[in-house]
Amino acid sequence: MVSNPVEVVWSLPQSNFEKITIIPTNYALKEDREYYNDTASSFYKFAKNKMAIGIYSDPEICLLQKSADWFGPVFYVGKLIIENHEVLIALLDLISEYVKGRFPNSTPNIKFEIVSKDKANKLFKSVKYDGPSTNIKEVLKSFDKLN
Amino acid sequence: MARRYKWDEIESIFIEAIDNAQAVNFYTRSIRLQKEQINLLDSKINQFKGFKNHAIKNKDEPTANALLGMQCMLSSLRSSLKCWISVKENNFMEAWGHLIDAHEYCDIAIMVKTFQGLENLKVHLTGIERSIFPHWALYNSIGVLETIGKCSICGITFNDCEHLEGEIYIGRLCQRVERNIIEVNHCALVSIPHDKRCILTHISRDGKSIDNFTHEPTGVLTDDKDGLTTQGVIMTTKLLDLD
Repeated sequence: MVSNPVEVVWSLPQSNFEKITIIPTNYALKEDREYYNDTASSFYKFAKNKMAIGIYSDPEICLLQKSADWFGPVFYVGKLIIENHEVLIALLDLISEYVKGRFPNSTPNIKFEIVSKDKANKLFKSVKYDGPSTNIKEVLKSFDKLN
Repeated sequence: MARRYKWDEIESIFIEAIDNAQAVNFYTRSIRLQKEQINLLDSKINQFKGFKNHAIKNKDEPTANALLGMQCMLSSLRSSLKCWISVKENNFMEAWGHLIDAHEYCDIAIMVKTFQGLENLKVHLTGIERSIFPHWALYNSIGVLETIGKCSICGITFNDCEHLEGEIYIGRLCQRVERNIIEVNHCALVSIPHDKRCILTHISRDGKSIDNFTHEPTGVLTDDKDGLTTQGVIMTTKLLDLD
């Protein structure tokens, strides 16, 4: 299941990134400390040699959710990247590959979030995915609705 | 001088240990025989740890991984036998914990390599879960903020190495260790949990708390005006023995 793009608050000091960037899970909250989903560090290590990807800061604190679902990182994908579906597809393929490697004997439900800006480059919008890794490309349709 | 073993010999030791343990891996087998097998499995697990550490020292990844799988299958059987003993001694909470240990060891063994009988063991464990224990509709699922910790493979801060959590590296499972919980973020009730140890141990019925395994009243009265009162495990910090 993919959500439609929803406007979100951006509370991080920095907001311009040249490449896909893993951002703190609490990017929308004005909190004293940043934290990431517990999968962020491993996914970043896995992905960084396969595509141009950055991470906002070292995930020193992480949110561990003891659920059978795979809670993936939150990604910031810039407007120019959104317009280039190939890069987004590469990211989605990497997420699928990572989850498949991590769970070779099962197909867990996966959850992740992609934050971007609308076409006018003003508002921050978020798309959330919640479903099997096999339907992950559904995310692309939601990004076509960004306006 | 330490004896050198050929792979065929190691496989024979493994198969014999598995067959002997499987033969008593049933409810009706005596506690005496099951305890005897647990002691034997303890010594076999140590022996296979020794084989594996030798392969790790020689950086022989396929052999080290296969030996980790064998060690996990032996550990799974040991936990399964402990489960039966606890059931027979009416220690149901303990039995449930042993069964989940058995499942998790078995899952790691399956992840590493498919041995003969491994899939059957998984089916056997699932059968125990479904027929001996009640169906748990809900489990606790907690969210915590914690420090990233260190890598169990190389010992440095987890962000600073190249190892991935949950991957096997030359016979060792990468885990984040030495993590410190900073804050409990939330607790939810879910039907499919990450940790099946996190069950509701007591629930309320007609204003009385009952044991969720036996359904016997505990003697504690509950105030259920606003809903169900439950008591349960919200988190375990147990790590499987994979050294």
